[in-house]
Amino acid sequence: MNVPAATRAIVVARIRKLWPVLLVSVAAALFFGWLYQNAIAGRQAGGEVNLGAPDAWLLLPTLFTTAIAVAVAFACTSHANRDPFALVEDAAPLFGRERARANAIIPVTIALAAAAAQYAGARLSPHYATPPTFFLFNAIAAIAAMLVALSIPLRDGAARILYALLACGSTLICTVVALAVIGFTNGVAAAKAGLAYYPNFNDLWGGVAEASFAALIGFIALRQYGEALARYDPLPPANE
Amino acid sequence: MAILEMRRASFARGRTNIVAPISLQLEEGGTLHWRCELAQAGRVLARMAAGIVKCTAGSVFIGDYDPKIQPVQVKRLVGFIPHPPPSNPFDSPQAYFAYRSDLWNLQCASAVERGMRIFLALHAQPPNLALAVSGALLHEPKLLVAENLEAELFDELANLRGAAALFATR
Repeated sequence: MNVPAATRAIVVARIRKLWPVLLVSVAAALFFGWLYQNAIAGRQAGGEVNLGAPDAWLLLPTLFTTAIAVAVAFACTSHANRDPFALVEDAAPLFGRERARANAIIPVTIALAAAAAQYAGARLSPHYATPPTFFLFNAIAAIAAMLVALSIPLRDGAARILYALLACGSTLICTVVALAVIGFTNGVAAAKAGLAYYPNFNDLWGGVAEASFAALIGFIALRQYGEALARYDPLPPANE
Repeated sequence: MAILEMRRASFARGRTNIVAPISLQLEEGGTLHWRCELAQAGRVLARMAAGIVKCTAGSVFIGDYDPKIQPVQVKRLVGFIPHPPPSNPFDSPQAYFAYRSDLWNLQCASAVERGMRIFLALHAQPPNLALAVSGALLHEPKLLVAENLEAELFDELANLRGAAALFATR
């Protein structure tokens, strides 16, 4: 594959900038996966949670991955102020969409690594019971969340919070779409499906539906990020 | 022929006017050291002249290109020196020049050689500034733009820039 030199340069720059974030994210996700698996086993034993019944608590892994995506986006917020890479890239003859694609590669890789680390952490737990497909669905949702969260550094104030909430919303919608399709294809009314099918997450059509929905969200988010980058005015900080 | 032309160009963020309407013209190969009342205005004006920040009113033309419509063509013509110059994020100046040559789609080996030649010629300057100047001159721009540049440095840059026009704020 012929990767453009500018894309390669931006990817290398992002690796140099974000590798500590990658390490912290993977470590946190590994620990969370292990802790979550133990905690859910404890709740089951205490009769507090029934894996066959709706329980918002079961969405925690997806929300955790989204939180990592938002944290990665905030780690990129030095954009155009003191970030030596951003100052050079703002002056470089690149289209917004080129920069958007190149900028997205490493954050999305971090989000996927966090989802994979959650699975690894869960497997390390002696109480491991969650189907691996769930973690695959989690990873698909993480891509959509990360692509939405990429716009956070380009926004200020309330708009920044709104984008963080949109990232959370996109992962939840992706998961709900998958669950609804699982319910439908298993012969259960979609309305009743919800989280009830959580333990039976080995469903091809649920995965296909979620991946399609995540691809749609991701495509729109990446296009929008490219447009925002093209229009963005990187002002110097007023207090310097 | 003018390499940089501003016609009542201004920049505002919300209700705050950062750069008041400015008209100026810089010919190819010429120099212009523009004085601004506030440091922030000087920095934003320099970014407007480099096509990085788009004016909110009036017009800016860089080599007959409008940065709002043809930003990529504009940025090929311009070398930009930020203030304060950022530290080198790479382990060596060569790696920094290779990174820049990839972004500008230059032939890497010759760009690194050219960058090192300019960098070594600036040995009397602080390393960060020398790196920023040599990086900005790497793709042989037609217009060199510097943010908030002191008078002595302006003179030194005027000698180093080759055929490029020089616009700086102070």
